[in-house]
Order: sequence, then structure tokens, then C-alpha cells
Amino acid sequence: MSEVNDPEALAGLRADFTLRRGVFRLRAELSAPPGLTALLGPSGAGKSLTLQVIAGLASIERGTITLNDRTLADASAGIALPPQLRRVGYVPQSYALFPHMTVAANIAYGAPTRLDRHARDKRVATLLDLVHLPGYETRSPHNLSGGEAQRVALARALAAEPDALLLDEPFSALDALTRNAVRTDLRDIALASGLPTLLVTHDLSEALALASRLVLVARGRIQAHGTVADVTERPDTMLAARLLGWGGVIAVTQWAREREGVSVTLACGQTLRLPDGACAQTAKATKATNAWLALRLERLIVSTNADAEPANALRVLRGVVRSVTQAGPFWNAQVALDGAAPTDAALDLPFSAREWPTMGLTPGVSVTLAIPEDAARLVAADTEVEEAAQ
Amino acid sequence: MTTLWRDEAQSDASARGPDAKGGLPRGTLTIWLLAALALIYLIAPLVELLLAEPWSQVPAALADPQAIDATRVSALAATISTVLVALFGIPLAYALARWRFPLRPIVTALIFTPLVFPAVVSGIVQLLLYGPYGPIGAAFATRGVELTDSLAGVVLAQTFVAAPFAVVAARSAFEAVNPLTESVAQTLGASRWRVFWTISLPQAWSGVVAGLALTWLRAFGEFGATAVMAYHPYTLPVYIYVQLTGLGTPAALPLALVALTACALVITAVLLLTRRSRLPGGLP
Repeated sequence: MSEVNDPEALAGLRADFTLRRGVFRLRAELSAPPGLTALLGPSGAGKSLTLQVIAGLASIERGTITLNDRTLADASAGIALPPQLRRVGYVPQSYALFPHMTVAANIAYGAPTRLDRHARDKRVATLLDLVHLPGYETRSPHNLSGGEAQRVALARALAAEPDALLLDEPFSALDALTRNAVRTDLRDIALASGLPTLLVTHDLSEALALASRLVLVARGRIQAHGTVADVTERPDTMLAARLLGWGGVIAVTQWAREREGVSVTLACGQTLRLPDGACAQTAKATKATNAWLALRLERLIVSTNADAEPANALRVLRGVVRSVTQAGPFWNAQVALDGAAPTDAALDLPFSAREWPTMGLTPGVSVTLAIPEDAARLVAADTEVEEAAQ
Repeated sequence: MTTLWRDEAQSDASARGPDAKGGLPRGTLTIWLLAALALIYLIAPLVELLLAEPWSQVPAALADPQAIDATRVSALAATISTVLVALFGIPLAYALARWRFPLRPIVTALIFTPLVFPAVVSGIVQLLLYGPYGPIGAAFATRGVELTDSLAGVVLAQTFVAAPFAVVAARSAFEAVNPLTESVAQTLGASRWRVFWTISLPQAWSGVVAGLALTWLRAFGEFGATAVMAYHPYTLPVYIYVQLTGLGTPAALPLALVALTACALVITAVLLLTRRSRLPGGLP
């Protein structure tokens, strides 16, 4: 790899394809360089199908898939390598260990045939050490815990010396305690392998904890991709904002470009001024009535002294606490914006148990919400973007 | 098991009323009674056979060369039939379990045809096809091969009647195999062929063997279709029938014992085979 001037240009997995399964259409365009890339999205978005397509277990209608310098599939050229020639390690959600084989036989199944028996045994032992299961050779898959089964499945995939790893919801079958314990292990093993690793998850916190790159998929298409910071801080659409943890999405009636930034009028009548960078390209391209304001609610600065002028008077929203709720160590205050219709959804502001007692938030209290620069973004409605992409 | 009943009895005690306290819950008792009756009904003829058996005559009957021949014909033909069914029926079962193709439900239903036909009718329809004047039988006859009244005829009759047992059992067994294990094996570099032999078949093994065992037993005991297609050479069931009609039950009973013993041996062998089998990378 060192001979290549720009390893990023060649190394890794690239997929750009479309396919149809009944009424479901999937259009995916993504790249995964060496390291962990999370494929994040809600159920039914097409995440698992994307992995199956890359592994060669489902066929594409159009497009190409390349891995490093090899073409795995090219619909226009009629190329579709069978799964056994792709050298792509695939760990399904249920792990699918071979139930009639020992752990050692499971792992050795994909080991290169050039290895003799002794070398295979040694390789199995090395991999079991790597996944922290030394001495598990003769165990039956039936007698493994969920976390152990997952690590055996990972060792089995690595034994075949793949060029990429595909992990489908690797933690969904595990209880919360085990999940936290194996998460770091899995990340370390995947990173140490140096392989492009695509990890499917529906859990934002999991994606953020593990991956350095993020591919956001929903409704059968890629909504955003890039480094974690790029994707999470700069969503383009309402849907992307919601999936990436932007808790508040408020209707906008009009917006206008001004000398310094953008002036936005909300449906409730309140106005605020955003810096130019907080305005998504997609929103700029669309009609004003199809733009929405997305807020990072946990970053808003809440104060109950309604008369005091906050530090940045240009980006302030005013409202009234409608109700408060508690769930475990977290408190939430539901704030209705002044001028909003009673049927409009309230902003659900989160607080830690530590800060909550000092807030003095009870139903009926007026609050001002100062919005830091990185906590607001003007995004486009989804329909608008999807129509433009057709 | 007893614990289960007690738990059930305790949790349901209030709903059942005071009369249910103490003994078994009424529902459990009913099931036990019905199950016991079914079992008695199934075992009674066997017990009666062993009681009525003229044991002193058994050695002489077993030494009867015609009986030995008939047993040999039955066992040989049943074994050939089973091998044929394994060779062609297992791939058919796998295709039905895994592949989606047009008319699949109809093909699946057609497998049951031999089960639906009365055995004699199975013999007659095959006679039409393989008999000296049938389209296939005539073609063979001109080359000097008789497909009726020959070992080939016995095999044809047995295979037709017995094949569905293996195909149906194997199809269910293949359907029970997690398709993801096959997919993962492929991504690990295995060809479809290797996946079948090392992943699919071993997991379906006990179902497939059970199906083949049923096929052998059904073929070994086949009477109706065989009697029509190939009355000669005598198979054991045909010979038993001949003895029964000619000389009565005392002549047939020792032969029945032979048939039962052969079946018992096969069942034992199958049990050992499915329990102790060691497959590639198999678990102990």
C-alpha cells in the first residue's frame, strides 16, 4: 500500500448501485475506506440489503461495486462475482454459526486451503486469542453466550483473510451489559485488521461510539455520508436532522438572505437570524415554505429570566414550559414557543439530573432559549430533495 | 415432567375448582388415556403375532429356499430403490426447499401422487408405461430387457411408491436449515457444491436419513404395485400372500416374523447412524 501515493484513492470499498425488490427500491452510493464506517438508518431503510448486495448475496440492477482495485460487480459490463470470490467477510445479525460444527471447525471453514492441518489449527488458536476466547476450540455453538457467538462469527470472517468486513447489527442480539463490553473489543479488532469495515446499525449512539465515518440511509437511499462530524453537524434534510439527533424541527414560513446571514421567520411568528453556514444548500435551493429549522436541543441555553436580554439577542426563541417529565437520570421540559398553535409539538428539552434542580423549570414558567451557532440549521423538507434527485 | 404437571395444577387450581385438588388435572388425564389406547391399538397385533407364532416351525420355515430368495429379492430391490431415491430425490428435495421457480407449488403437490394412488393403481399405471406394450417397456423389450416380472420391475414399483417419503422428509429437513449459514459459507469462499455437502446436508442429515429409512421400509413391504408389476420374482410380501392364500396363516406367520426382524434391524441401524454420525468438522 505504501507504493501508492494516495492510498485513499484506491483502498477501500466503493458501491454505487440501484436495485428493486418488489416495490422496494434501493439506491446506494457509498465508500468505506479502511477503518469503521457506520451505515446508520431506521428499520426497513435498506441497510442489511446493502450489505447483502456487497457480499454478493443479492444482485444489482445498475451500477458498480469495487473493493480496492477489484471490481466485484458492474451491471453494465455484466460482471457479478459470486460471493465465494469476493473476499468479503460477512457477519449477519444472527451470526449464523454452523450449528453442526465445533467452534474450531466454524473458524477453520473459511481458512485458505493452502494451509495444512497444523497451520489451520494454529490460525484458529491465534484468532480465538484475538477475540478473547482462548481454548474454545471444541465448544459447540449451542453452548455459547450471545457475546461469545458474535466473537466466534467475527473470528470466522477474519480467518478467510477478507479484504473487507461487513457487520450487520452486531450488537442487536446482545443484552445491554454485554453490548457495552464487546463494543470496544469489536472496534479494536476491526481497526487492528486494517480492513474497510461497514457496520450496520439503527442506533445513533452506537454509530457515534464506533465509527469514524457515517453513511445515513433511509427510505432506500443514502441521505448523507462523510466523516461523523460532517454528517452529524450538517444535515441537509429534515429527515436527516431527525435521524441524527436534532431533536427540534420547526416549520418556517419565510426566510431571506441578509448582509450577515439569513433571517428566518417561524410559523409561530418569531424571527431569528442564522449565520450563512447554518443554511443547508438543499434549503437554499428550495422554496422558502419548504424549509425547516432544525435545533440541537441539548445545546440550547435555557434561562427563566424572560426580561434579561441574553448575550446573543439575534438568536433567541421565547416560550413557556408546558410540562416536565422524568425518565431515570434525565429530566425533560416540554416548551411551547410563544405564538405557536396549541396543536404544535412542544420542544422537548433534555436536562441532566445534576443541572435540573438549578433550572427552576415548572409548568407555566416563561423561558428564553438562546441558540449557539452550531445548534440551529435551516434544512429542506424531504419531499423536495427526493423530487430533485429523481 | 412431574414438576410441569404440578406447576400447572397449582396455577390452575382456583380455576378448576375444589374437585381438581390432589390428583392429576382432568385434561392431562384425558390425554394420557387417549394416548395409551392409541399405543395399545398399535402394539396389540405385534404382541398377538409373537404369542401366536408357532416357534417350533420357525427354523424350518427360515430354511425354505423360496423364503430366502423372496427375502433376498425384497431386500436387494428395496436397497436399490433407496439408492435411486437418494440419488435423485435428495436433489429434488433441496431444489423444492431452496429455489423459487414457477409452478413450484404444483410440483410439490405432484410429489404426493404415489401416496394418493391406491398401491394397485400405482402398479397398473406403471404397467401401462413399462409393460411390454407400453412406450418405455416396449423400447427396453426390443433390446431384451424386461421391465415387468423382473427385478427391474420390482425396483420400479417400489421406487415409485416409496420415493415420496424421502423427498417430503428431506424437503422439510432442508427447509429447517438456516439459509444464512449457507450464505455465510459462500462468503467464506465455499462453492455451492461445497456448501451443499458441508453445510446444508449435514444439518439436514437426520431428516434425510429418516426419510430414506422410511423409503426402504415402505419399499421392502411393498405389495400392491409389486404384485401387479412384477409378480415374479417373488418378493417377501408377495410370497407371504402366496403362502397365506395357499396354506393359511400357520405358513405365513414365520415369514411375517422374518419381515419384522428385517425392519427392526434397519430401524436400529438408522437410529445408530443418525445418533453417532460424524460429519466433516462434526461435533462429537
